[in-house]
Amino acid sequence: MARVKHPDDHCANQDVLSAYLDGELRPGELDEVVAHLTDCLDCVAEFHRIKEMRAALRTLPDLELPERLLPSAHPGPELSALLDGELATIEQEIVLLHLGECDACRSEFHELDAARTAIRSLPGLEPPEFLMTRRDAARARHRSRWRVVTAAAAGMAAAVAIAVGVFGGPPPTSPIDVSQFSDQHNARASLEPGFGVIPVFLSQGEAP
Amino acid sequence: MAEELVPTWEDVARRYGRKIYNFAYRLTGNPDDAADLVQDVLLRVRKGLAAYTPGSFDGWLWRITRNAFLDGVRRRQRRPTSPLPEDERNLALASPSPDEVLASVRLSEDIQSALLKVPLDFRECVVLCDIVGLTYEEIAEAVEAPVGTVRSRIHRGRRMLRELLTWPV
Amino acid sequence: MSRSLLRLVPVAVVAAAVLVGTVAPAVASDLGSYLDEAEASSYAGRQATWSTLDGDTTFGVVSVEHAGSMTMVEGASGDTMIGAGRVFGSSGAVVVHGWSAGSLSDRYQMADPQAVTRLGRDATLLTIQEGDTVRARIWMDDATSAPLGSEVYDGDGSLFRLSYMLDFTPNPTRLYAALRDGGGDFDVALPSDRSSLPATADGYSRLDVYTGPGDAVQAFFTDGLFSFSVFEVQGSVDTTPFADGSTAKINGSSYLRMLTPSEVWVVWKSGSMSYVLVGDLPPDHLADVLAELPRPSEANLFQRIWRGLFG
Repeated sequence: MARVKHPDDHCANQDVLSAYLDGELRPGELDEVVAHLTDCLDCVAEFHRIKEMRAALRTLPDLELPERLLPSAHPGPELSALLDGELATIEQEIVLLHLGECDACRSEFHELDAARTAIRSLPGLEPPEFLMTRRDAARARHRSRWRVVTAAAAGMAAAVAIAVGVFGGPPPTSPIDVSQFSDQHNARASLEPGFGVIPVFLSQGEAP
Repeated sequence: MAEELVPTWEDVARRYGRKIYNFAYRLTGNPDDAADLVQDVLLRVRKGLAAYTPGSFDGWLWRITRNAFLDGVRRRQRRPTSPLPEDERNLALASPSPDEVLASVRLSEDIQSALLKVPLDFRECVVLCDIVGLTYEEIAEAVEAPVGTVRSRIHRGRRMLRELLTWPV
Repeated sequence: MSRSLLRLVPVAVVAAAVLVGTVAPAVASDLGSYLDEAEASSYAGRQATWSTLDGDTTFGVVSVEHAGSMTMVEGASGDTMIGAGRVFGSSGAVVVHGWSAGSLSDRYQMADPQAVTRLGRDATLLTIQEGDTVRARIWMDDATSAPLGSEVYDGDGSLFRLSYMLDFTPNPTRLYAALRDGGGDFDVALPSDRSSLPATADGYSRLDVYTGPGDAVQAFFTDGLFSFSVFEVQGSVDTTPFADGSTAKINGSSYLRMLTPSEVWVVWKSGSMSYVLVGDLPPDHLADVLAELPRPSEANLFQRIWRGLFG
C-alpha cells in the first residue's frame, strides 16, 4: 500500500491521539482520526507508543495514604515536639487544631507540659533528651521561634530597669512598664464584647 | 428542607487523601514532600470550608491541591534538599509479592525518575490524567488552562516520558 | 512608679454582678447578641492560647474564672481580675473613667451558626466572614453561652490565633476566692483630648482617649470585633521589655514587633514621639492600621543636634 502524502498539519497535530485514547475527542474528530490512522504508519506507530506509555502510567502502584495524615489521627511524638518547638509550621497548625478538637490528646498534652515544666524546674538537673527521637532534619523545615508561657509561670511582667534606649544613646529614654500599658489597654478593652480570649501575660525569660 | 452537606475535613481526607497523596508523590517522587502536601491541602481545605459555596467540590479541591503544590515547589527551590536514598523511596510503595514483581518495581522506579525529568506543566497534566484520573475538563479547571492546552500537554508529556525511557539520559 | 494624675484612697471593690446561675440561651440573631451572652456567662477552666506570626510562635495556658463580665486570671505572682473597665493585678490596678460605645464594623458578616459538639458539650459554631474569607470562628457553649474556643485568621486564610478551653466547669460555685475586698489603691485613667492620632484607621474607630500610664496618652480603637490601644510617649522609650520581639518591615518601614499569645505589640518612633501599640487585631489589619498612623521616622537633624547639645 502506497503511503499517502498527508498535509503537514495533520501529523503535527498528534495530540488528538492522546485524546482518542482518553475518550476525550471533540465531536467530529473521531472519523478524522480513524481515517488518518488507516493510512498513516507514522501515526499508527506513535499511537501504539503512547498507548503503551499511558498503560504503564496507569498501572503504577497506587500508594496507601499514611494513616497519620488524617486529621483524626492522634499525634504521639508530635506532642512532645510541639512543646519543644520542633515541629514544622504546617504540622504545628495541624496538631494544634487537633488538640482543639480532641479531649484525649488535650489531657495528654497538658500532662506532658506539666511533666516538662516540673523536670525543668528541678535544680541542678540536666533537662532530659527529647522524649521521642528527634525528627529527621529534613522534616523540621520551618523551624519557628517558640516561647511557651505556662500557667505556673504566668504573671505580670516586672517593671523594667531604666536602661539606654534602642533609639540612640544620648537622648534620654522613658522607661516603660509594660504591665501598666497592658493593664490600661485591657481595662478599656474589657468593656468591649470579645472572644473570651483571656490576656496571657508575659513572663520574662521564659524561652525554651 | 434539603441542606447541602458541607463535608468535614476528616471526610475530605478520607475520600480524597489517597488521591492527593499519589498526585503529590508522582509529581515529586518524594514521600515526605507528598505527606507535606496532603497536610497543606487539608489545612487549606479546613480554612476554606466555611467559605466554600456549594458548587464543583472536586474542581475547588484540585485547584487548592495544585496551588499548594506550586507553593511547595517554590519553598523547596529556596532550600537545597538532599535526595532520599534509593531504598527509602520504596518504603512508600505497596508491598508486592516477590519474584516477577521485582521487574515491575524496577519499571515503576524508572518511570518515576523519568517523570521527574519531564517539565512541570506537562508532568502535572499527565499525573492528573493517568494517576488521579480526572477528565480533561476537570484538569483544565484545576490548572486554569484551556482544554486544548491540557490535551496538548498530556500528549507531549507522554511522548517525552516515552522518549526518556527508551533512551535513558 | 506612680501612674496617673489621680490616685484614689482604697475603695471597696464591689464584687459586682456576680451572676452565678445559668443564662438561658436566647436565640441570638447576631454576633453582638452572642458576645453579650458570653460576657454574662459563668464558667471556670484552663484556657490555652496560641499565636503565630512570620514563623514566630507563642503559646500560653492560664486558669480562668469568669462571671458577670469579670474574669479572674490565675498567675504565679498573684491573681489578676479584669472586667467592667478595670484591671486589678498584683502590681497595681487601673480603672478607665468613662467610655464610648462602639458598633460592629459592617465589613463583618456572620454565616449561619452550626450545631456542633465541643468538649463533649452541645455547642454552636459561629463563623465570622470578612468579605470572602473567614476571619474568625467562635465556639459557644449552648448551656451557658460561654466561649469554648476561637480561631482568628490572617487575611490570607492562615491561622493567626487559636484559643480553646482545656477543661471547662460551668457555673462553678466557688468564685473569686482572691477578690480584693476593700484593699488596694488603684489608678484612674481619665479622659483626655491630647491625642494626635486620627479618629479612624482602617475600619477601626478611636472611641476613647485617656491619660496615662505616667505621661503617656492612650488612644483606644475598635472595630467591634478586635481592638487596640496606641500609647503616645514623648521622646524615646526604653525597648528592653520588648526584647523578645523583632524588627518587622511593614508597609516599607521598620517597626519593633512582639507577639504574645493573646496580643501583638508594636513600638516605633516618629519624629519626637514614640508609639506603643498593643491589641488583638490580625496581622493584615495591623498593617493597614499602621499605614494610617504616624510613620516611623528619625527626628530631623536639627532636633538631634539640639538634643545632643542640650540633653
